[in-house]
Amino acid sequence: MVSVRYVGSRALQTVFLLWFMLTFLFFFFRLMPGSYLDIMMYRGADPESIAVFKENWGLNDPLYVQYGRYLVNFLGFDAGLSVQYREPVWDLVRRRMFNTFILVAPAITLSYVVGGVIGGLIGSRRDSRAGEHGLGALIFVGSLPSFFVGILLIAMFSMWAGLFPTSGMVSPEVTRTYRDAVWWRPYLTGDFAMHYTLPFVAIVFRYLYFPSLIIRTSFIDVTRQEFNEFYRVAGLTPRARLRHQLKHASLPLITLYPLSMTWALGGMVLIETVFNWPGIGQMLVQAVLSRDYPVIQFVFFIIAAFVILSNFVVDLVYGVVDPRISADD
Amino acid sequence: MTTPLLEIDDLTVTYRTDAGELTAVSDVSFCVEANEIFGLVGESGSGKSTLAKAIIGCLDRNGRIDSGEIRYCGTALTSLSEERFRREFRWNEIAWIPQGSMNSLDPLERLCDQALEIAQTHTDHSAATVDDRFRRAFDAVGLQPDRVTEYPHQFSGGMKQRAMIALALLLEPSLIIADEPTTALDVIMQDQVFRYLDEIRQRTGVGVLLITHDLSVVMEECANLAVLHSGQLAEVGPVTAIYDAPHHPYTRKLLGAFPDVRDPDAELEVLEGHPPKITDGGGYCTFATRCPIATAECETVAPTPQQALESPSQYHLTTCHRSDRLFEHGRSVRRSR
Amino acid sequence: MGRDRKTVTAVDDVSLALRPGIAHGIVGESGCGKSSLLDVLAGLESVDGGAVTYDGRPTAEFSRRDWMAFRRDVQIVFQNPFESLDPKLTVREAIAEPLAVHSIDDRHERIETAVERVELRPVERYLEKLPHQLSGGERQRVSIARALVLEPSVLLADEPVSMLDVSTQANILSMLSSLIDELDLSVLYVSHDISTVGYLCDEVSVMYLGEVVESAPTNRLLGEPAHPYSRALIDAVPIPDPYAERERTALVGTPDGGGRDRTGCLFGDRCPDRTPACERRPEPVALEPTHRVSCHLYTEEPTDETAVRTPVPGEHHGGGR
Ligand SMILES: Nc1ncnc2c1ncn2[C@@H]1O[C@H](COP(=O)(O)OP(=O)(O)O)[C@@H](O)[C@H]1O
Ligand SMILES: [Mg+2]
Repeated sequence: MVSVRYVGSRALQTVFLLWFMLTFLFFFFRLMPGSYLDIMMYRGADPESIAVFKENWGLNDPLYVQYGRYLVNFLGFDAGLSVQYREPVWDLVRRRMFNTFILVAPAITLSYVVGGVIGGLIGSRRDSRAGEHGLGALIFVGSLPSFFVGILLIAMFSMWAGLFPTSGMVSPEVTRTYRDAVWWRPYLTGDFAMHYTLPFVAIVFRYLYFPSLIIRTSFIDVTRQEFNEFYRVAGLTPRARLRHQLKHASLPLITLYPLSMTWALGGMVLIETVFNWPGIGQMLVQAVLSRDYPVIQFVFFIIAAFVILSNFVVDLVYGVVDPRISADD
Repeated sequence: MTTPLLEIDDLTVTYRTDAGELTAVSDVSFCVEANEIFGLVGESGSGKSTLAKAIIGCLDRNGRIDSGEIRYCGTALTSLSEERFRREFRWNEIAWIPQGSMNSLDPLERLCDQALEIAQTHTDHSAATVDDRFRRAFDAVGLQPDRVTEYPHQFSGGMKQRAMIALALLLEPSLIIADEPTTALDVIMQDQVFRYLDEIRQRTGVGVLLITHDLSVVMEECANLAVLHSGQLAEVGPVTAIYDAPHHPYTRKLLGAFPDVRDPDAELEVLEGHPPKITDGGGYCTFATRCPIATAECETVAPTPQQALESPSQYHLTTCHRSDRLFEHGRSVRRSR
Repeated sequence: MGRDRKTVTAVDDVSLALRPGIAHGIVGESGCGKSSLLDVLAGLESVDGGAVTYDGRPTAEFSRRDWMAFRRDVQIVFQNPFESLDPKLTVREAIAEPLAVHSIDDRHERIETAVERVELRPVERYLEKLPHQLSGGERQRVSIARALVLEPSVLLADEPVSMLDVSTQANILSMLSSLIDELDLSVLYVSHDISTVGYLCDEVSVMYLGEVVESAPTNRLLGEPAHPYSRALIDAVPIPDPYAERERTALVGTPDGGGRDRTGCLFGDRCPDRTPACERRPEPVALEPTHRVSCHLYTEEPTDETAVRTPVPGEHHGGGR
């Protein structure tokens, strides 16, 4: 079982990693050449306005003071101002993050469910024709780049069939209609659902092969384990036996699920560009182009934090599902 | 005469393999009675596990029973529907301690949950009854009853083995098939396991089919034994008869292959090679290639089981063309002492 | 090759000496510390206390050169032939490896001799095989050939036959036995099965929780075991004779079972002959010059000048052994 000590030590490790990441990113971006100031100078700003800018942004203080201030602010959900928009980074990023997550999380989850079923089917029929062909098809799908999948879907379903809008998240009319309503009201419209469908399908399709292949391999591994024979001889029904096999076979998915998620987050830059989806990927591209370091730094941190935290959760879940793990500790 | 607990009648089992049809068990017959430990002996590759899996109807996918019948208390298991076999006989009537049972338990489930699931598959016992029974079974094999809630990895090898025996006892079967239950254990643990098995037999009258390659274990634990070589039955009969008058050269070799603590300096019989894989359908003595007294007949004609001459027992069959000849060499087969 | 006579000794808690040209057995249940002892002796693990002396010199003082020489001279055969061979190396490559490590030439000849010695014949048929093409017994022979190819003077064998079939076991045992004589090897043979130890070894040490509790020449130990644990180990071995009336071992539990209170006798919690004296740790006594035992049954008369008492022989079973 998961012991308190195990959870405690993993939690401590996680907090440390988060702090380390935050610190690393802070110093990394301070020491990077090519800052926003350089761009200002390049655009011909006079020394005076640069001095004012430095003063306003606290850039004259020693680095450790800046770092301390950053840490304190950060704990109060204040990641500074975007130099580009002069708006709090948090406000800018919040909505974008939400837009990305509502796309990625359900899509990856679905790809794991569907992939699990496909992988299980292929794995349990591994000597048959269907198994072989299924495997080939999966590998083909997995080799397609995501923007290609996106463009293909747009071409097929928006341009030729005209079923779905080509890009964006909600139509301008809808935005206008709900201008004064709560911020999440537009997400409940049919218009949003129409915009949502194609990028969603693109992600599911793109990342499907991964869980399928993993489940397939792990299913084959599992059917070779000796407990199968025991359950068979013990007279368990075929269904009950399959249930146990699936439980074993899905163990690796627990580790890989958040990995796929992060991976897809990285890949979102392309998908969001193709579908013009106002997510964090798009914003990152803009921020990088204009050296908006506070934003880049924060987005990087969010992605890193996602990896770190999900690893923590995975360890806990794994500890519950597989009793052997926390025991080795 | 009452019906024996288990009757194996002319059983032949084959596997489909790349090298052709492999005959893993050929024309084997023997009986196991209630309240006895019956030994099935042979080197690895003799077909012992195949026989066990055939009895319980769980052959690997490429294996099948070619001919013969297996009867359990008179019921022909071989013509039962899979569903009925599964529900009524597996574990309920015939339990199985698998070869390498240390790895056979499901690592993801608590032992009591595994017990509960098996029990509820076959009976309508309540969870409390099952728990109570399982705790008593734990006690019977010398494990602390409280530990039923633990996971397999929390047990040592010998303890897992005993937990498996406890699981086998759970539904009070009439037959337990134990496939090399102690091969991976040290001698002390082995002796403890057999003590528990024997106590259980005495208390419940369960029949045990004990599969092992260790003839000395069989000599001690069993009343009757069958010797298997490459799927053919070499010899079957009471242990004392086979010990006093082994009628098959293979049995003789096996009997001499064990170091004996009473006589540490005695030379060991050396048996070269391995049991051959029979992929040509057989039709000859499978021991012929390793036999010191084989003749041309042995390589072309399959021997049939015959009553052993000069045996102290009337139920002592040997499958050897040359057993009469063998016996002329005298009774002193074992080292004299 | 100048074959020096060498002695390996591990002193302190485990005190035993492997004399040149002798096969010495170590018996005990799993978890008794037999394998750790071998690891220490082989220099794979460091010593916590005490010292290992090889050829009169403590290994702690060894230089790198000395270690090289030691590793060449002392070879190990492991328990599991399915794990100890690299699945990707052919028999020839596996046996050539130690030669390469010690930069020894004329490999061809040496490899063939080694394979010949372990009776894998015809040699050419085996050299290019991969482990998965071999049976368990053949693999174990390859492991032994690999150990012998450096012409060591000491062989450490960790239950080399326990994973094998009984008939294969007999083959390997009798082969080892003749190799020991032929090559004048010193062997330290570790096993839980005292019957195989009896067959192979001249001397036996019985080990319990990392300590040697009794050591004696094999026949003496099997015939007149003094320590209750030695008796239990002998009692537990099945006898291939349906008429033999063997008592089952009285031992319950496992060596790590009862908390090991380090003050008293380590075997105290499982001992059938336990007395109040067992609260103290027994000192080894010599029943005979070559027969030493650590048990209070033999040390309980401190006033008597002749503290060494002869053991009560063969009371544990019908005198059959
Ligand atoms: N699933 C299988 N497919 C092909 N051959 C098999 C299979 N299972 C066992 N065999 C072969 O059948 C013979 C008997 O095997 P087995 O019953 O496991 O013997 P034992 O239990 O006596 O060691 C061996 O030659 C083995 O290689
Ligand atoms: Mg088997």
